[in-house]
Amino acid sequence: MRSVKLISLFSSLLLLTGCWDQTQLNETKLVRAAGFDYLKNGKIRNSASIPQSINTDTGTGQVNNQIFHAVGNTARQSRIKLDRKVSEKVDASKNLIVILGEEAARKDIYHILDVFYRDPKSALNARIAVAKGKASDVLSARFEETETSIGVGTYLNESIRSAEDAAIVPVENIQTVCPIMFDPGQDFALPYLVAEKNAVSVNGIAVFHGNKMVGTIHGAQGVLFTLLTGKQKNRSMSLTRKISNKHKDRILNYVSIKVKRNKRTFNVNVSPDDKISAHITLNMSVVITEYPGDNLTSKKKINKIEHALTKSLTKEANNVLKKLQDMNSDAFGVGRKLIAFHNPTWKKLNWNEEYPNIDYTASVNVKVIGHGIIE
Amino acid sequence: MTFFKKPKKLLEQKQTVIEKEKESSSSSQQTSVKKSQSEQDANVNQHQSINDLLNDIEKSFSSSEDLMTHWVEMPADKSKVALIFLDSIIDKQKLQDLILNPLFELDKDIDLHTFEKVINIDFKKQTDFTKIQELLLQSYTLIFTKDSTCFFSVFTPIKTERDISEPDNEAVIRGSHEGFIESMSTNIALIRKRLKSQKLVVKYLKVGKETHTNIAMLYMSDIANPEILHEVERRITSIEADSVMTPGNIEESIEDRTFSLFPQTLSTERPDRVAANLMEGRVALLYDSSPTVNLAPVNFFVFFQTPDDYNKRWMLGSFYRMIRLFSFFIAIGLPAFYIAIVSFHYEVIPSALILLMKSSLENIPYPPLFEALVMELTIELIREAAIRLPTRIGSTIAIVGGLVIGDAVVKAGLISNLMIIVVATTAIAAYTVPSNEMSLAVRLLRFPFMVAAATFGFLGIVFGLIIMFFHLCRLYSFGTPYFAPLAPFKIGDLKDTIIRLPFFKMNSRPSDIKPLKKDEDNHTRKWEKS
Repeated sequence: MRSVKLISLFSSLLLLTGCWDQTQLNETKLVRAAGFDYLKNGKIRNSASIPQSINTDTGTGQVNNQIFHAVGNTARQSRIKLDRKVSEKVDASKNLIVILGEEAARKDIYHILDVFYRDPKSALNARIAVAKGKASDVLSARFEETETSIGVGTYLNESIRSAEDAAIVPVENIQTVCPIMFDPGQDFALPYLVAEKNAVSVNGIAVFHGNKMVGTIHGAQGVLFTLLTGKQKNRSMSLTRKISNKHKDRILNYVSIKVKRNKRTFNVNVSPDDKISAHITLNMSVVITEYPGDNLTSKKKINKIEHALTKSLTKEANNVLKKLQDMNSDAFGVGRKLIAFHNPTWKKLNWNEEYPNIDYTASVNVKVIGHGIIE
Repeated sequence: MTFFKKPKKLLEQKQTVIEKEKESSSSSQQTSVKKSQSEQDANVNQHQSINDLLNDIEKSFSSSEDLMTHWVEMPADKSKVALIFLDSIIDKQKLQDLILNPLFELDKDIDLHTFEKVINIDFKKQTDFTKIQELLLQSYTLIFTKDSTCFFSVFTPIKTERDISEPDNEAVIRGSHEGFIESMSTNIALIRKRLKSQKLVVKYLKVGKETHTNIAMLYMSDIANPEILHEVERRITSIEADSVMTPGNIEESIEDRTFSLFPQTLSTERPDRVAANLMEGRVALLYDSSPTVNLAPVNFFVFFQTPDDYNKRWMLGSFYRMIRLFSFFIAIGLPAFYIAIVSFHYEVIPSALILLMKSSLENIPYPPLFEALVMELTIELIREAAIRLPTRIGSTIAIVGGLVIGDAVVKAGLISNLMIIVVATTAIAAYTVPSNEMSLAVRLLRFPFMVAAATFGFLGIVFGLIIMFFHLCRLYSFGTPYFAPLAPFKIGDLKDTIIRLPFFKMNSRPSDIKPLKKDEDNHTRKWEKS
């Protein structure tokens, strides 16, 4: 009797109404890459790459890249409008990358990213990047690289990942950017993408101040930037530097190195008269991966190369710091150190005005620990 | 001669029962024979001659044509004796060997009476004429002489048992390949062969008012807990039923909770398994004409042990035992997990896999629950059909089933190929559970999990698991906790449940069945210390 009561009680639960959170995978359209641009009238244009895989007998599905665009007053509104254009429910939980147009990035990126931080299903580990020009141009860029088997989201994501591995750009995603955005003592930088004719290249680093993009860093300076962050300790970063002008053959003037270990020491000091000075020391252990001049067995030669590299890299590092100071971007967090260790000083000053004027230097010590398999 | 080892006690019981039965029946043919002991002399005198007696017997068997009478001339005094037997249940070779050959080799001056004393234990003088029918039905050959006060009986049963062979569903790679057969006495002999100990006790019980099913209860008197023994015996003797035909009937009558999917006694056809469990303090129940032996009390993890584990190196034994426990969760949870993922939580699918999965089930017309149910039921259909069909057709079913399931449904776009992978993995996982009962339980258990997953996603699976573990923790087998040694938790008993430690580490018996002797006295590596 008791069980009859229980069963009828529980089965009556089935008659109750309520919302059901079932969302079936085959009834959704997955956004794999999203782009945001501001239009001239201030509205937001949302572009989304929704790859549709085409099933074949062999199982390896081809991917049909579809890009949808929608315009709205806010990011969410444009998403809702986008949903109306797509046959099934649009879902961004497997989003791989968010691309902001340069114009949008130079305004306030939080205005756009807000929607990601509020939705519990949004992919917070999606990468975030800035596009030169319009984000939609990057998304709609034709890329030759096996276009039929991967979507543009995967393509961009993988390009940035390999750039991160090579330490050309810092590792950031939507989640890691958020606390720094609200931190008055630190700024961040994002990968900077450029749409080319048949590819999208990771061109450099877009440097931010607060929520706004303030400039870019390109080429080898990008590598030094990531080395100076001190975050990537065990990655293999490659650099090719010119170390002399003596040789007639251009190629003999260069050496290529791979950074094996990179240890950063970061000191921020405040003098009694409230003058702030910051100094970054990088101790690098490198392996020579290319040196056509050879004779690396000689200690003298190695010392010479180490010396040349130290000089050249220190100069370059100081250039990066100078550039950052000019752009007023505290990407390495001098302000954070001040807040932590020199709080009374921090409270007194206006960091936005003070930062470009502090004494900010760097020194790089290069030590060669290997020169390849040739003795 | 092993067939004559039938325990005497049992035989006596059987005979008294048949006698009782006879007394209660009122068949007219038996009236002439069915007389009390006091009337016996008169009864015998009624038979004017041996011929009359034989006629009466024939009448009482309604002239059944397998009742044979055979006249033999005694070499001693040229007198004629009658051999009477039921042709269908006696062994003629034995008749020849035990009666006719010795008879003709007799010296002239020895008659049957002395013959009985000298030669054969199976050759007995009988005086109770009321037992004639009964003896005939028990495969005896009766010898009647002119002397009407007594007759002789010889036990000449035909061998109707199959040979001892390896049980199909409990095969092992290394170890004994003997299995139980349909004869209880042989089965007991197989166990005694392994446990040559005077502490091994056999106790006969009888259930079923009409079927008189014999049950033998075996235990180690110095290990098994008397409380458990008493409980098992009490439950068996309290069974009141006209017919108790199968071990399943008895299992259902004595287990703690019939409304549970989980088996509460372990069925096995392996003597080594029974012997090992007896040594742990369990009780074995053997049945007449059934090769299945039930072991009680059991816990959940006993169903995942096989004799093979103990013949492997211990690390491999542990590994495969863990695989089996893992397969338990695969078998109940994998389809549910898949359903929950594709209909609720596809965020958890790795990025590299999601388009592949999406493309696989893009064009499936119905929800994943339905898809899974159809496939699971199809697998069960094939399984059921494969059991029923003769082996020659069985392979056809396998081909048809494999083709239909593996290929055609996917090509037709009815089922996604991921679902095929899930269902196939699940089916294989269910079969790795060594016990057939547990494997069946697991197979049924996955359906509620699938429904729960389709309704509430991961939450549903978690609720399902909670309810399942509640049930397992509350379940008792003959007063011992079923989910031991996890609940109640005994770290020492884990040595032979989830893993299998080496033999020299197994120094104590599992405590959940409360053995009288906890210590196993294992000192197998004493040589190391000397």
